[in-house]
Amino acid sequence: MLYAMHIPDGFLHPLTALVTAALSFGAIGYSLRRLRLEAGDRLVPLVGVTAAGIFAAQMVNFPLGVVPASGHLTGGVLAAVVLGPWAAAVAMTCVLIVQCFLFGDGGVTALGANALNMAVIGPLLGYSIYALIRTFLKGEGGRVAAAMFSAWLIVPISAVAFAMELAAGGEFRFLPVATAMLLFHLLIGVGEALITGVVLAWIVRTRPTMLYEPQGGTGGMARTAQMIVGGLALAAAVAVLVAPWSSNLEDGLQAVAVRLDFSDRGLVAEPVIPVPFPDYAFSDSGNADSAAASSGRFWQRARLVTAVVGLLGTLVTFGAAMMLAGSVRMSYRRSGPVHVG
Amino acid sequence: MSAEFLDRYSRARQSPLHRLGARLKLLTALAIILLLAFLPAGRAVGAPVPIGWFQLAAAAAIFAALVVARIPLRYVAVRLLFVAPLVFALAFSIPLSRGLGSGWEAMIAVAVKGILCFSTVLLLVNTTPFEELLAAMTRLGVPKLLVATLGFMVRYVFVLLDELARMRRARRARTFARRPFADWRQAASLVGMLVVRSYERAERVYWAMLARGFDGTVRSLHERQIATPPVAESDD
Repeated sequence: MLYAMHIPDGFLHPLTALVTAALSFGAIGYSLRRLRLEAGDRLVPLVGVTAAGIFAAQMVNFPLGVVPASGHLTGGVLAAVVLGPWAAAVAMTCVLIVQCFLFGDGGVTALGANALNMAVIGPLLGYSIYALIRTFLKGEGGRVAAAMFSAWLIVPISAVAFAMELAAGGEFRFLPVATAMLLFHLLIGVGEALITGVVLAWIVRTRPTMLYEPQGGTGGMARTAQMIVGGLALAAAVAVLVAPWSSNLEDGLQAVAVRLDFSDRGLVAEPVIPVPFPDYAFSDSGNADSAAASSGRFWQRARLVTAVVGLLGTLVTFGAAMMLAGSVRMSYRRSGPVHVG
Repeated sequence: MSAEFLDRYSRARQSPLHRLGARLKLLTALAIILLLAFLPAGRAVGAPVPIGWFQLAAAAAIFAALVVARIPLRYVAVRLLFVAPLVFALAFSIPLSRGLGSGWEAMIAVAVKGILCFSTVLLLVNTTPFEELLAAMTRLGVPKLLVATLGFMVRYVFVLLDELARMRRARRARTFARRPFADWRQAASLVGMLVVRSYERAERVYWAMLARGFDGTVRSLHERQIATPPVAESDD
């Protein structure tokens, strides 16, 4: 609900506005270039008219039935699946600009942040996730499923980005805003996924040839890049969104250790190699199970810490895995396939 | 809300403000918005709410400009009525995120900024036809490709909104349900049709342009020479 409205002027710190504007500018500029390569001079009418279509489509309301409210499609992922990521990014940007100037929905200084949330994260990251899943799920049913999952995941990711942008100014407290928006948008994402799925299924039934397929030239290198980005986004999303809420009960081994009464043996010795984040926490803020955990603020801090550490851990693991994979592939290339016998 | 509601006064009125060059108006509006959005609010002496002198001066200037431009205040009030509650609702999450203990002043300051900036945009859009705004953006450095796409989009938004209204009417005429879109499948097919129809229309538009000699460069009647001074008579 809050996220569905774009950020107005005056809510963002100037630095936040500047940074998000720079990021969006880069991403949309790149999308324009790729689009010009792919679409040539078809670009202007194609993206312009379909942007108008997206704008109109965002006004169709899907009544929620039980509640006297209705849902609307944002359409970033749907647009990316139908038009391709670059066209969708530019189209959503146009929609945002028109909404900002003609409707007052979203501030001029906040265009960078709003574009980041809805025209970059939605189409570009959403398409990467979709493409990643598509490598495992072929066929038209797989297309719809991949689009639905991507649409669902993108909504809370955008919501967290939205909260981070607001909180970076200092007026909004990040954790309450982020937590509330996250929980709310995990639910909203279901609506977006459902609408995306139903609409995409309709298009697949009636005009399947219209859908975007990456051209032959974008195979290989670009597909690898897509997989990497999509996979990283998934892992990061899990680390940030899910891990902090995971159970704080002892895991299996610890529970057995307590039951059989040898749990104190492991704790006596100091770790042989000092580690930066013992027990998934920053060393100075202590263990989440400590006595002070009864205080609400401490739980919040523990969750944030878990999320940040989880994210860092994901990135480090990913980097290590990439290096390992790279070294294996290089040695394979050098020695050639291994012949048995 | 019919589509011309948004900038109906950009063409329906004539005033000194309407006659100013689009580039000047755009730059001035941007400057005001930047200052309003990023300067700390401050507090005017004796004011119960955190509104600074600059915001009061800006509010007075915008009000005066609206009067000079002969834009009906009732129209402005209606537009504000749509936007202000949303701005306040978002601003309310400042104190909400702090447990309602503090942040009320920040909420008022931020909401006032948002509403004043929206009023500035409203003034700009209702004294300058959108195509002229787009031409001004091109001359200020916005990528021509993006501006041309925006121009197409705005032109076809009205066409497609009309099409949406027609489809809704047709639906209502053929349905026995109490509410037209009690069925999600119907709403979904509506969205699907919008997307598909707009895509196919885009193809036809492109072919029509090719048939009329389109060579990739989008030209517009609103472009003027580079040496035009910023204050200029409107030439249509």
